[in-house]
Amino acid sequence: MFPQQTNFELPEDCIFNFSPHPMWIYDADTLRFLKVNHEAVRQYGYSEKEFLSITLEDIRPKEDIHVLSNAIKNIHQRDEGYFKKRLVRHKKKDGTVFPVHLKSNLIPDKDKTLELVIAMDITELKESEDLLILSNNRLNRAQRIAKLGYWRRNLNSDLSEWSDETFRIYGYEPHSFTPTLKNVINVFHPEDRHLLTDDLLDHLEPGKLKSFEHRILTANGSIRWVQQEIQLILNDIGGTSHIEGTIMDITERKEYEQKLKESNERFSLAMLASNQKIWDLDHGNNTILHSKIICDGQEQIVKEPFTKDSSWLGKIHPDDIDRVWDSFFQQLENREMSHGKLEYRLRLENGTIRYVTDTYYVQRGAQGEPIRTIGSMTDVTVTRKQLEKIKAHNTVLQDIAWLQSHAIRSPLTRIMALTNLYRSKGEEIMSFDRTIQLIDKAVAEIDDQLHQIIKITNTDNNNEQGNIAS
Amino acid sequence: MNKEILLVDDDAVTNFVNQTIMESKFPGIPIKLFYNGSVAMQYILKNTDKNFLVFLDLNMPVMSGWEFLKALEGKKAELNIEIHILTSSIDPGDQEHAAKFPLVSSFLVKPLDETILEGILHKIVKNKM
Repeated sequence: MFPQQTNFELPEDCIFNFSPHPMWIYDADTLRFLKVNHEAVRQYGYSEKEFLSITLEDIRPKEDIHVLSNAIKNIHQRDEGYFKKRLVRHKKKDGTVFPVHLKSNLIPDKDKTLELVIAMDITELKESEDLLILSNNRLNRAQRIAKLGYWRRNLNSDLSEWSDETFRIYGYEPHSFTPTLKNVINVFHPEDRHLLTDDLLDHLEPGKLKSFEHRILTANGSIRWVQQEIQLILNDIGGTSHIEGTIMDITERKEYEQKLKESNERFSLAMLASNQKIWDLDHGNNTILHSKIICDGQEQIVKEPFTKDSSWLGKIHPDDIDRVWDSFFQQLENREMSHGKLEYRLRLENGTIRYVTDTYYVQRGAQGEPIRTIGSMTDVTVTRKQLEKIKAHNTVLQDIAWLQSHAIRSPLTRIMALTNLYRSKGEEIMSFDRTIQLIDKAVAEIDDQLHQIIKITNTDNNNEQGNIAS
Repeated sequence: MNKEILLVDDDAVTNFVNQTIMESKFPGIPIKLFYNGSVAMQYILKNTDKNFLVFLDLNMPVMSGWEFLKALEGKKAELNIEIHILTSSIDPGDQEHAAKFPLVSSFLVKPLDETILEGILHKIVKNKM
């Protein structure tokens, strides 16, 4: 029932029979197989006899039949003697569908349209390719999330290759910017362009990453901070080949670092201005860390065991240390207490006494046990001295007020009483001369008291000037 | 009931002038002079049957006006006494402090105002102190 294909008897040692890939010859008019090799029989699961009884449509998934029809329709437009490559799907006898890379060539024949086909199973290649695409997509997504771009440039070329994310970091679409060296220099911040105009090779060692942080000008004119990790790559014979690197947008981190720096500077200045000392007591290790800002704005930090003879507590005035120590631990034992305050004196190395106020916050565990105490000690010597001065002033003012209200006003009211008496009774009760005599005496008393006030005032002023001078 | 006016002040001239004014306004009411709070208090405690109108200075030697008031504070029920502070002090603090003593009826500033004095003495005479 099938035509005999005697004209395709091939020698046993023909390459057709020993090819590692399935091969066949078919009739393009009937789509019937005329000859198949051993590898086709092995891979597709059909015996040679079965192959010769089926058509090309039988080794195609149903949904791909139209692809085959189109290929057959255009078969005569192919150049003779040239193997055409196509990627299609084939179906084995057991129904397994797999990707195939086809190469075919028309065979000259005066009666029929014959074609020789080589079919290469690319299942593994396709899986590798799919995995590569998946991996590449993931890498792109990761780069985008991390704002991390990649670039490379051959040392003998002016043009760099940029990844999509690198374009994105600079604010450009890939088609709208050509990363020539000149263009890249222009998108660097003017103050950072020396990084490119200097000879990079002076800074790079083969295989070692070099890191740079600098600013760039993006497409919309804004300034961004980036970090670049660059390395020099050698070729197979040890010569320099190309440089490659990653670029990461670190603008947010730089802004945060700047804010942190400003905040630290403010904090240091505030500490310096308020003459404060910060301390941090770790109850677990029984160690205390204390720091203060010294005159040049530098922070001085000391960490040591928390004992009475530590460098700090050892400075507390001997008359105050036991009270301070006991009071502090009493407050710690109160599990409801979170804030505390202590006042005491420090005796400095030069012998001077300073008054301080120590306020602190206690961090406690679930059972209320103290874990950490953070405090701030402020030198209140000046404030305290001013308060003492104010108290002394108040005492003087009270003395003066008393003198005015009693000692001065007493003889004054006597004069007023005498004049009232004289006005109402004339010399009936007291003679004019006696009245004048008593008034003179009262006036002398007033004068004495006024001298007394002046003396007190001068003494106070002298004391104050003495205090200021000290 | 025996009534007496006590002038308690260490200033002799003030006592003399005030005594003169009172005698001329209300002759017949005995007036006694004391130069500190201590002697005045002793006299009062020895004569609890008498009815006293006291004009009390604050700033005095031996026993001040304040000490005098404090000493008599717990004896109000035993005594018939009305005390008017008569002082040269114009310190509002003294006036506020005086108001805390129940025995004190008023706070007068020297020199003694005759109109105010007449008001106080009229009241006493009317009530037949």
